Amino acid sequence: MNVLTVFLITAGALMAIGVFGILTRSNIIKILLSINILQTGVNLLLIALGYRDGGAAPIITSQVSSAVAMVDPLPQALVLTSIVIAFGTTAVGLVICLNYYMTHKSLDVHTFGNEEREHQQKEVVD
Amino acid sequence: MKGLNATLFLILPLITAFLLPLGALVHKRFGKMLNLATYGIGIGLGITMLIPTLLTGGAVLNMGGWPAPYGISLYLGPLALCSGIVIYLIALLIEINDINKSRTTYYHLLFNLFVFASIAMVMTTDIFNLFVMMEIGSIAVAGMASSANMRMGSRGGFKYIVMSGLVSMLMLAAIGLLYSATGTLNIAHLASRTADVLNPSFALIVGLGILFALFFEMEQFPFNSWIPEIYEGSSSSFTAALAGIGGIAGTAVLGRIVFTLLQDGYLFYGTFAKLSAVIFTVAIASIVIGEIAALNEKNLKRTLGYSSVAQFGLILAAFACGGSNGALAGIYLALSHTVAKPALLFIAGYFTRVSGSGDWRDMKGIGRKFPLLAGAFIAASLSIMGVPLFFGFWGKFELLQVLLKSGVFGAVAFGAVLFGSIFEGIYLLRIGHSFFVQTSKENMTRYQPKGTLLTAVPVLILVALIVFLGVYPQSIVRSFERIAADLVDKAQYVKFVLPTAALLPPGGGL
Repeated sequence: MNVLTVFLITAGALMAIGVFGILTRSNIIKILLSINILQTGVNLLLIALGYRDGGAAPIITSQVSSAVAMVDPLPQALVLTSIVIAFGTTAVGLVICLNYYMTHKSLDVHTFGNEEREHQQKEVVD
Repeated sequence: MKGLNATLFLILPLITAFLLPLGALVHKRFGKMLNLATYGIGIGLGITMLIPTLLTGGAVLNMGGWPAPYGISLYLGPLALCSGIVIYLIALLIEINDINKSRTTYYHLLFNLFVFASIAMVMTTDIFNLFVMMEIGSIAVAGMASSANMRMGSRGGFKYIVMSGLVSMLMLAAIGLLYSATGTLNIAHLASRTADVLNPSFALIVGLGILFALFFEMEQFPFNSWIPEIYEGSSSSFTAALAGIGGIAGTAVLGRIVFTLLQDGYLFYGTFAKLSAVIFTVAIASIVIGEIAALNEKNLKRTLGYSSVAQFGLILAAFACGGSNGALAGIYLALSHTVAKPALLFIAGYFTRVSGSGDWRDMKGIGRKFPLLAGAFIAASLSIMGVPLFFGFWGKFELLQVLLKSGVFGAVAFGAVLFGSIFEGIYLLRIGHSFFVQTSKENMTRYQPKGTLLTAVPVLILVALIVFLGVYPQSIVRSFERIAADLVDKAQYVKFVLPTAALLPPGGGL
């Protein structure tokens, strides 16, 4: 099994775990963590797509000329950007979780019942 | 100077966003004044660039001096500029509506980030850059979800984050796969490929990954579970932005992807028929489910949220038909919705504030106290329904014509549009009627005016546009045809964005 196959299998497994967590967990922090696992899987997939067996780091130095096979640097740049975005969305997600906990006194997604829904309809919102 | 204007047109809201926290230390109204100035200048810059663009074609701004496909290029065509101007106009009207409301500095900051992301989405020519802007927009939406009601908003915001996380990862994976097969992410570069055709199954996966993210942006079923809570939990001004600004940006991006990349591109040769079937299915489901949900809803802002789902479904159906007539119908529908829905949401927010309830059944007789606003609500509703002499009519008329020529899916969508229009008539006119029914004296004394003028000004501007463009469509039909041509003319787009296309090496990056 070569390195690329390992990368792809791991990426697929991480994505599957992430989607499974999103679909089956009821704790909102765990759902947020599942999204992060999914993001890690996709990032690994991108890295795998730019990988070349035996490729050098994409930096031309006195020892490495441009003629040497290099891994593709663009997916790595995409992943760096993607990680920063994931950081931003996770930060906002955690703030929303905090707000959710403060207003629902629970981290469970099923807290919000029909009774409360009716109560909410009467609240003034603008 | 032209490059500077174009750059400022894009980044003005970004500059404003990061000046706001500093300005708030000086004066508490600094943010509101700066926002008004920003959106006013944005409209001015847009108009100065749009006039020559309509006469001579588009222009390209290479950020950092790097030409496409090596750097990020922004395409300043009629569609992008017109969408940008409309985004600034809606933002300005929202700010006027908000002048007397207490908003935090961070609310204004997030709102400006949302405006910036929307403008950048319609101008960018790079798919990954598009993904980044969609994520910035998502962060802003999730942050503002609790702006009026933290309990409802936190729930809506969480749903939004989860759905956004799922679809954005699908899009990112699709982008990665597309790059691995082609070696480029520039839309013009991808569209100009004549040597490569993607494997049909592979092309279908990539196309769906990108389309799902755009369906989410356009509030389409089944990616819209967050709609009710977000529309109820956030301020009416922000929901107006979501429907107006988000809608027009989503339409422009979807149009660019469908017409430039998927429909005529060699890469997706043979796959567009399947993708078109998916777009039709999502559109029909959204129209039917959106209208039924709106009919059963009692909260006014939620009702309007579900109505947006159905309206965006119409735009999707128009684009699924393809061709210049489909593009024209989609543009008409998008602009008429962008003008009418914010007006409805401003009025909904005002009546909610005045009546002390979000339930439209608690607003009986409110139109007798505020006849101008209630009358404007009915006028905007008639436009949404597609009644003649209102702006919305021309979009639906164009759409029905093009659907009849679009096979079985077109015929089903035709039925769904008629079905939706009847349902819209029932629930919107039922609400409008309840505004004017006789009510008790207690209710009439309960409805006390609170900043009516600041709501009336943007509403009346929008309603004046609805009526004027409904009665005199010939005043803008040339411009709309020019915008539709900009959307469907792939060769022109490639020529502007990628003047050196012939010099680029063909095929596979990896």
